[in-house]
Amino acid sequence: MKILFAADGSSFTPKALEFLVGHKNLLGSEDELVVLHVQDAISAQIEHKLGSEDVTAYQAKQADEVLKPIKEFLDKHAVKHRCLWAAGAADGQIIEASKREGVHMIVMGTHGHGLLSRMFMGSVAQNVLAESEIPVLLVK
Amino acid sequence: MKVLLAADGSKYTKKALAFLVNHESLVSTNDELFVLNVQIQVPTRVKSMLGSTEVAAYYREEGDKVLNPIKKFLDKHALNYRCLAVVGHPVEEILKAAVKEKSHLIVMGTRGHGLIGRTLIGSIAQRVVSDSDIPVLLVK
Repeated sequence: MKILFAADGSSFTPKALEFLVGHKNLLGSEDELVVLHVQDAISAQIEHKLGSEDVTAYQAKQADEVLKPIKEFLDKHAVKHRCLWAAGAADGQIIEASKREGVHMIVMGTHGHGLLSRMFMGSVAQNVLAESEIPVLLVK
Repeated sequence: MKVLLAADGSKYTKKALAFLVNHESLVSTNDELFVLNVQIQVPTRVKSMLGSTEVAAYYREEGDKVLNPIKKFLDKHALNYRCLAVVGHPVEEILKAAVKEKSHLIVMGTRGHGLIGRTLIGSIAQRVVSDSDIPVLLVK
């Protein structure tokens, strides 16, 4: 099964990884796990001031910090994967990537870094659920 | 992986079943699929009016209505499963069964029979996601 794993580097990321590795047969032998990390968009004003190259370099570095441990973990467990990063609204990017990659399922945490942990689900997960046409696996 | 499917017989149940069957790695042969249907309790007043035999027959009949087509479908696809219909509060019964069955994953629809189509995720799914310790796969 083709799976998109939306990783934000929060406490849900290792939990979701443990789950995926613990149930490796979910992925099948031929499919690779697509790992997507979305960086917040940087306001046009700041981008203008810093130059878009600097902004992209910054985002790439931030994304790498999240993706690198994931990559190491998946390599260690011999899970075929591909890491991507994007900048923008997380929900929109996750949906877009799920369509582009033709995945069968999205795996993500119920909450990201947000502080409203009393809510049953963060806004990104809610919006992904609302927009997604494929099943969404929520890891807590 | 031990999967608990919360089935209410709505169109989401059908979608969840189709997903499970299409991705058999979710319920590979040595694992067992546990299908749970929760019948909502009849008010005490109604129960005393009808008599408990009548009410028990009603629960059984309603449970069969949901579970029989599921059994037929799963038999056709030669999946290993067990079915159970219980009476109680759906959220509590789903979570209780997940613990008792040591499930690794709960699969359910984002919404059931409820009529409030505007909400993006039904109240039962919301509360299962918020109270469950294991991942929840929401099918739409």
